[in-house]
Order: sequence, then structure tokens, then C-alpha cells
Amino acid sequence: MNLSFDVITKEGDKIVVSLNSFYPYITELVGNTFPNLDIVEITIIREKGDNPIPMEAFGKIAQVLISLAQGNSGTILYYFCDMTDDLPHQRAGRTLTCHEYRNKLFKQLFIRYSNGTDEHWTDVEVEMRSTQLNQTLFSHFLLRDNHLQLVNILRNEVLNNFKSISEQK
Amino acid sequence: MESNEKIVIENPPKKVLDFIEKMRRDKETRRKELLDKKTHNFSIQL
Repeated sequence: MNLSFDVITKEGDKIVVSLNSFYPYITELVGNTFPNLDIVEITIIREKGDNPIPMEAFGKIAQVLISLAQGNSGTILYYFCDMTDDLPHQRAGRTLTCHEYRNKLFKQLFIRYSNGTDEHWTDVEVEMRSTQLNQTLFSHFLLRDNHLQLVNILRNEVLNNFKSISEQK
Repeated sequence: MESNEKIVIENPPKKVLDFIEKMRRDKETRRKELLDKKTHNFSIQL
């Protein structure tokens, strides 16, 4: 899956969303277990404007994600909380980093996403705490119950330093 | 319907950090490509 769309708010701000299939070696690793697997990365960026993004915009984005994911039983949605760009609208007294903010934002998006479908979805939040990087990294896998095993496989790969992937290459 | 699960990994090994760094660079590239893209598959006006 490779597509993009934009959402233009009433104030004229423009949010661009892309969905891209990615990381074929993960598919190689678990392809026999999950033959129709399609891990789709979500990227959300602000292209224009600096007003607060209304929840209505996130609701529309969630609706699109619902319709696209429902059309493919092998789809897993993936979101990596990147660290580019500052937060334009940090509330007074809050000191979230941009990736902490995106982590909370994706959770909110997931609630809207999953409330719009009869299927059971699980939001798997992966939090990696690195003293070497002096950072905590967040990512999310949004998946159906039949894909929950995949997360355990990937978790074991991480804990085993990607040993299986290295052996394949 | 939804549920949540959280996985916490303390101090992932170097190969994993290298992978994350590559992933982060890839994501930045995709963000730049997306900003340069003139047209999209569809548009939603609120």
C-alpha cells in the first residue's frame, strides 16, 4: 500500500498523511506464518498553517484508516513516533518531547479508530528506553487478534539482537 | 472495539539501536518526500 491524502481544516491548515508498506525483511521473517502480511507505516505531517489541529481532523484521518485497513485482512498499521519538528502548541506547564506528544496523539487516534469498527483491534505500544541514546523511543503496532503472535516474534528478535534476520542475510 | 498492550524494552542492543537509527532516517526522508509531493490520492476538506 502506498498512498497519501490531505486534510484541510476550516482555518486552512493542511495535514498530509501517507501510508506506505515497509520493511520487507520483517515479512520475510514471518511470511510463512502470516502469508498476506502488509505492514503499513503511517506518516502524519503538517504542511501548512500553525493553528491547533482540531480533533475533527484526526477523526477524519481515523475514518480513512478504518476503511483502508478493513479492505485487507493482512494489514497491520505501524506508527513510529519521530522526533522532527517542535511542538507548536504545547500547553503551559507541559514539557512533553515531540515524540512523547506523538505517542499520546497516536493513542488518541487509535481510540477513535477502533470505536468505528466491529473488529477487535489491539494497539501494541513499544517503548524502548536507551541510556546510550539518553532517550525513550515509542512506536505502535495496530493489529487484529490473529496478528498478536507477530509482536511476540518481533519482541524476541529485538531481545535476541535481530539474530534471525542477521542469519538470513 | 479495542485493547491496549505495552512492551517495554530496557537498553536494546546496539544492532537494534542501529536499526532504529536507520528507521528514523528513513522516516525523515519520507516526511521530506511527502512535503515535496504536489498531489495526493485524495483530499478531505473539513
